[in-house]
Amino acid sequence: LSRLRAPGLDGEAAAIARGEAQRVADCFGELETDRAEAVRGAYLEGLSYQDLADRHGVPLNTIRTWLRRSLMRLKDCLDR
Amino acid sequence: MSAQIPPDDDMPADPDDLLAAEYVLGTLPGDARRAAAERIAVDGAFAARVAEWESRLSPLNAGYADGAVPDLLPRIEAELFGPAATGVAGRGRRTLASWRAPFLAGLAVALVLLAVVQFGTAPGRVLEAELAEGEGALRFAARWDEATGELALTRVAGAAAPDGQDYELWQIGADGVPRSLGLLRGTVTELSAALDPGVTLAISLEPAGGSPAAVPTGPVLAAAPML
Repeated sequence: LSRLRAPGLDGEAAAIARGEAQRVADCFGELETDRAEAVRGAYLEGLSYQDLADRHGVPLNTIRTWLRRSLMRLKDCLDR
Repeated sequence: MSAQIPPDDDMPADPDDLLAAEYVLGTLPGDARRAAAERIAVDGAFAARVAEWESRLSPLNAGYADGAVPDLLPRIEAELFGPAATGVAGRGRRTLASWRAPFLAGLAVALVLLAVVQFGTAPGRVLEAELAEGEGALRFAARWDEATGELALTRVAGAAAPDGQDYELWQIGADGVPRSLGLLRGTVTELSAALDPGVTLAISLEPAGGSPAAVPTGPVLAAAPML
């Protein structure tokens, strides 16, 4: 039985991965566009608070607030 | 999870959870980042939060390559042919077009090449490694094919895990956070995984069913970077 369970991860894990990607996309869709862009910029492009502040033309503290609130909203959405 | 989620968006959130999130996001300044990395090593609860954020955000990586490239060409064409078509009207504009067109043509070629390189090489990568630890008897050969996402682990030396225990496979990325890829039972295990070049794979000995935490709890028996 234990030998049967490990190969089962294969298809299951792939299906879970696809579902997760869709869920993350949906949750990003619930954020304001510029805030979602800022989170993506930080995570995928490795941009710093300063980079993001320059790109979005807002003060550094605003970016920090954007990201923190967006992260908590994403968490609420993803953990629902 | 035991932590209560604050009901109001404007309330300051659980600071540890926020720290874990910002660590994963990569926005912590150098000192804070190092401090967080050190804390992951000694504070299991914090490490678990970091791992949770990793799994929340990591699906973003999958969509990145697909989304970034495709709509460049229409924009390049518009840039290229737009100014050229209107450039004859006046001297100023023609001058502008005369340096702009070759420049933009060069830029277009560079961007198309970049797109081709991204599309052309990404699907075909194969990463391999032989996982071992010093003179330890246990050795696993690992092979990952990016096109299929299939990661195959073959035990080439050593015995199966003792009764009541399992070998668990982990990937450790640039952030130094181990993430479980699954259990290795039998001689060959095939998993579905998304790996980055240079990621390290490690195998730890865990209680049957795998680590009860988000990080390894047993000794690491074999490890190697995937190249």
